[in-house]
Amino acid sequence: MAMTKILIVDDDEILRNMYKTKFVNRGYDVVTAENGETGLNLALSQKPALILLDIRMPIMDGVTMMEKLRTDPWGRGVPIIILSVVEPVRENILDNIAKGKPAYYLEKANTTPEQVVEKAEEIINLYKD
Amino acid sequence: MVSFWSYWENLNFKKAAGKKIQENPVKPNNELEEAKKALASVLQDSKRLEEKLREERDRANAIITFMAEGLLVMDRDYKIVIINPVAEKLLGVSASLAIGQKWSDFVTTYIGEKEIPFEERTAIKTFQSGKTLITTIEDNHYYKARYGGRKFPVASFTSSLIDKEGRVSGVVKVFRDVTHEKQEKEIIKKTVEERTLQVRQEQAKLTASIQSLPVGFMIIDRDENILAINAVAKKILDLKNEDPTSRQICEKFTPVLDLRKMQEKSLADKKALELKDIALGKKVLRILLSPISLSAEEIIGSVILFEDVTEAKILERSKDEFFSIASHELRTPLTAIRGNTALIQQYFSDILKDSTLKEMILDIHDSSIRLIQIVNDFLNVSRLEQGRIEFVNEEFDIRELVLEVFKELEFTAHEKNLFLKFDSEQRNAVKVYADRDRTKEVLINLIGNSLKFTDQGGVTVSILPNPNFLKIAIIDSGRGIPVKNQSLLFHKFQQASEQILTRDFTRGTGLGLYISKLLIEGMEGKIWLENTEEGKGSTFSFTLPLAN
Repeated sequence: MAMTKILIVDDDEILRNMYKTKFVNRGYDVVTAENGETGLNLALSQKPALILLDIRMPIMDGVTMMEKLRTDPWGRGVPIIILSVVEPVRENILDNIAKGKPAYYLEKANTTPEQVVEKAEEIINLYKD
Repeated sequence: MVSFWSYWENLNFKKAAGKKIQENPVKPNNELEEAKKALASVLQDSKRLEEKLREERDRANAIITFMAEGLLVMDRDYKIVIINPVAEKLLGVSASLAIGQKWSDFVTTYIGEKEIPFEERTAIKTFQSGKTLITTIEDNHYYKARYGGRKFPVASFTSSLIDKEGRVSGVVKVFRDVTHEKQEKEIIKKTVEERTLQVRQEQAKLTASIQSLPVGFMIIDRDENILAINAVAKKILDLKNEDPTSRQICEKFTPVLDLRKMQEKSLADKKALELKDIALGKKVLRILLSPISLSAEEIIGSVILFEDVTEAKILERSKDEFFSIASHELRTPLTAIRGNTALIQQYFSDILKDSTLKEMILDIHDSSIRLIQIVNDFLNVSRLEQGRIEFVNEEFDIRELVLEVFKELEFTAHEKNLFLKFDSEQRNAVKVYADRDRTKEVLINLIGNSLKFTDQGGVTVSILPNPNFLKIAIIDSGRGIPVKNQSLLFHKFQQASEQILTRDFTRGTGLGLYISKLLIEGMEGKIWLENTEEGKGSTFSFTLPLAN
């Protein structure tokens, strides 16, 4: 059985590697991107089962990437976990975008890698065909 | 003094009496008795008349003598024929010297410093025209007797005397020394001048203060006339012209703000009105409108203050920006430390044989969690204070939430060998209307605090529904809070430990209760220290609105 693919989009290399380690250890196939633009390209070409998405990134931010992704027939349905430390004003924007769509919000600093994986597995199971 | 009436008698009465006698010629013998009788009757009549006349004359004499004004009578040659004692005194002459003298030779008249020429003198004018002339203090007339006496200001009344034939036979002049009145008038004039100067100086001071105010200042009356405006106001409003109209100023704010309407509102409410964050081009203004009242009823206009708060706004924005950066830039590396130490413990525990190394990694992990908590507290306070936290209120069962919190704190309580007890007679759900997550935060904070400060016994939570709200009490058997520190509770950075300056060993930012207070108040509730006794324990309570 092929490994489930996860896309991690985060501009912070340390965090990217940290989440990657966690997911690889759990037996996932992990691809990473350091901004929204490469993230969007990778998402559309690799079609991961789940995307971990940071918000504040250079070149293209997470919100823009998500908006673009949602215009794609496949991208519309892919579950996303927004992992960020953004201000509540932005949270509202996220709420609006995420409404009715498979997107979840986790506050990065207050979540352990273990909790992230647990949430990710819960969501993947939920959206499994 | 020759009296007026003796002169008058000469002119009229004696002539008339003489005529009367001549008109009754003496008749012969038989008529002699008749004539005698007639004569006696005439003489008697004449005597009675004379007596009456004398009475009149005495009365007039008395009036002339004792009147307060000077009086002169001149004949048609302008020679003085009558002069009363007041006139004698004013002109510094005796009647004997004055009578028979020409008025114009005897007294020089002036307007101010200038001598009045003969033909312009009131007596002459009156004589020629027959008209009554009046001079007042305002005409600035002066008299000076030729033979000494002082020059004095006069007010006069000059009237003509008309004889039987209707010709002007003389002039009567009544006059009065107006030195005192003139002096009084001078004093009044001087006082008025002084006061005017004072007012001008006060005005200048006021104008200077208004001009040097660091804020824009403007006074506008009820008819929207600008009574005063300072340079700062013109600069803030970007007004080029000297005297702007209120219309121009109102137009500056269109369509952001109807300044006129605001002024009317302030006048109608008789209250000052503060308008914040008014955009004017690239500027941000604070505007204050305040009615100016002379009394409770009479409002004469408004004072309008304009303050340019653009810089303050920029500062405020950069402060927000700072918190945003702090939030992101501090928490990102902290997340990495926390996550990676967790991963080390999880995946490399078999490699980490050395217990000291294990402990050190655990310490790094715990410290990162504490640091994250501190950053969270700081950010929460900042957001709460700026009203930037939205409360998502919903109906939920408070009993369920308390038990959930107990589960999370079970480990801590167990470690200290303390109990957690839920004391409620309510068997059914107790629904409150609040933000569940924020309420949980408050419960964790309060129960966590109680556990922190309790060494024996434990913590009991009780709920007490009232008609409109629910009261939740957290009762511990801890060390209690000293009286002197109780007032510090719920304040920023305060912990109610015994030594204020000594750091409490329990550690924390000292923001917990402050945040709880902001959160509870944000959900329309109240929070307070219900009861505390040193060595016996404390009770903290808060309320939340009940769901309908």
